[in-house]
Amino acid sequence: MKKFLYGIAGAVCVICMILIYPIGIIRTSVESHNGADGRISVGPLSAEAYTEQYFVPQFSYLQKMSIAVTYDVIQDENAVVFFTIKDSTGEEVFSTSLTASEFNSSSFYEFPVGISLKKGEQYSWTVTVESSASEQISLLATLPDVITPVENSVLYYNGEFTSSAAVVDYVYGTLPGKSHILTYYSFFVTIFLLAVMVIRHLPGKNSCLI
Amino acid sequence: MNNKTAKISLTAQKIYQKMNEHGQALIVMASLLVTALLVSLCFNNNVHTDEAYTMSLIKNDFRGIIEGTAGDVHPPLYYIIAKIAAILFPTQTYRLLVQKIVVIIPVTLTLLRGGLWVLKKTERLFPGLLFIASLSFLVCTMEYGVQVRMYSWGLFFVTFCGLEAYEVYLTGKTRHWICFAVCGVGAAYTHYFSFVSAVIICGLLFVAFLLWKRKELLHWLIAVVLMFVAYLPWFFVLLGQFQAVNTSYWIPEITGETILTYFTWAFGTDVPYTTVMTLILLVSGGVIGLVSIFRKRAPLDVFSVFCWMVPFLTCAGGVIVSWIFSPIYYDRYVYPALGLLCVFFALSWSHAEEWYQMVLLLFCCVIGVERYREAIDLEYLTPNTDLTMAYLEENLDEEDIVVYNFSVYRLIYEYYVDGDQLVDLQDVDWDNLDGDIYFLYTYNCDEISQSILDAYGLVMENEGEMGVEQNNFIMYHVYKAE
Repeated sequence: MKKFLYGIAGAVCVICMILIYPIGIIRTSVESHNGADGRISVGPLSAEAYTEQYFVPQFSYLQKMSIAVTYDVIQDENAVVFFTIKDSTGEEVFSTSLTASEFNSSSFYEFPVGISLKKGEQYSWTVTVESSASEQISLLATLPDVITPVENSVLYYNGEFTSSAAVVDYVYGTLPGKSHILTYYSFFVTIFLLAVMVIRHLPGKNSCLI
Repeated sequence: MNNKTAKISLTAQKIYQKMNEHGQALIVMASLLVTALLVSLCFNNNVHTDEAYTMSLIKNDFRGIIEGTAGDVHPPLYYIIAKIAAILFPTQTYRLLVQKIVVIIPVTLTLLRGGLWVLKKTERLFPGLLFIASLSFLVCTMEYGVQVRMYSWGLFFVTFCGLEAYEVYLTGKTRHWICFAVCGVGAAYTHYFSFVSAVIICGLLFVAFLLWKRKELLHWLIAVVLMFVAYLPWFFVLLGQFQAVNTSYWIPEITGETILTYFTWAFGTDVPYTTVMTLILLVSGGVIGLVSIFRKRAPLDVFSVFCWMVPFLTCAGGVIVSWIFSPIYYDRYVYPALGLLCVFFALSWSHAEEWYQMVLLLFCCVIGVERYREAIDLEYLTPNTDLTMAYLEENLDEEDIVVYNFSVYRLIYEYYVDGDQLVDLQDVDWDNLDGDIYFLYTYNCDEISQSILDAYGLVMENEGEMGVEQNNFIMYHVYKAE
């Protein structure tokens, strides 16, 4: 019986370790954004008029991203914002749509992405907006010829080249580093050995832990 | 068990016995090693808001310090100690280093006293080392042990007060009563939540006497009255400060989310879920300790539970008072009581087998590596203070101004830059600019709008990421276009 319990404890410990690394169920966030470089607006966005930003991810897992927007006077709470990411062949790898009222901030629209991308390869993201109100939403972009952050390359508005880049915050999830893995592994081993100590003292041959 | 395993086990036992024989020396060495780690974090010129406040306050004479701290929200003892150190070591260049050493000394004394005390009571080395490792690495001592503030002194007084309370209960000797009272009053004069912790220790001692040694209650009463008399000079100031805090204070409202941050603040590191890991070990230790209480009913086991109750009740008291009146409790206020939490941790696990205590010790050290790395980042790498200072020294002329958008950091910026040259973004007189602007842009705060740049013919150049202490910003050079 005790051998069986040892086996269970050991198996749980090993499974937990594998989940941490290489599977990576716990990820650390890394952000990349434009800073305070001057801004212009690109838009308005509509179902027909869209912006397309080409970018090269710096890590292989994009947790979420936020785009800076501006609008006339007030935001149309019912506007539907469509967000799509395509790979270099034009194939759609992620797509979502949210109403303006669902975003936490009215100046930064955050999209929970949560997909794996190929680090160093080119992708593009597109934003379109469907709104029945007269309030028009535009994308905020950097001043002409200022291309930041490092991920961004060219920005198109309605298929036309602009010399700016979208004001955006890319949030990546990275696999734990060596020191993090060491901490998790040592914790699991500590708990496994605690289980071993407790099992050893379960009623049977030796009955007292203390 | 085969022969080989038995031989290894025997050798391990011999080594452990040998180590136990030199227990005191090893405890002293471990305490000094942690002290060396803390000292290694001091060779920088980084200050954050509260440290800047300390450095500014101790420029006054003693009267000014007492008046200044009475006008703020803290008792005066720490600032008086800091002032004495500044008088004894009158150096301008190393003034921050001197103050950092002043806050490390009580940590070292607490580690030594706690480690040796646990060693003596359990007659085993590893629980003593567990106290040192848990206080150094499982809680945020790597940060608060070098902060030029009162927390490490609070830790010293509360831990000593707690340990003396046990000695008082056990022996009733006069010298322990004196030490207990002095440490309790010291705690009360250091920080108000150290005061709360000291009151809780007095309360728990009362409960212990009431349950098991009623004859000692008179001594307890005398000690408490004397402690109150010693605190009386500051008591009325406390009431005034409480009144002021009650009407307006910066502490946010206490919600379930706020309470969760108390744990992440105390036990969290950059490694996600460190708090959960530490709590699991604390709870497991607590369960083992409770089992021991039910089996043996030893005073030391009961004391270990009381040790756990001090930080818990300090925190709970702060939360309840905050709910009833207005928010006055913040996460770090429990730090002085965390020494007793580590006593609880060490005493609880002292019931486990020795080999497992060593495993725990190793785990604490693994967390310690991470904590130390983070502390190094915080003190030396992240802030870019040297880079910022070198940049400003090279570029900032007399007529130039340094503009910031993160108002709460003004006190810190003032530590590095002449106050006359520092301007809040909201207060910039755009019509009368004599020189250039060096704009410290903190992300998510106000910006210099393009319309202002255009209206005044200004150009804004990104000079790269810089920072001071825990505030990273992008440095922009703003100047008139040719």
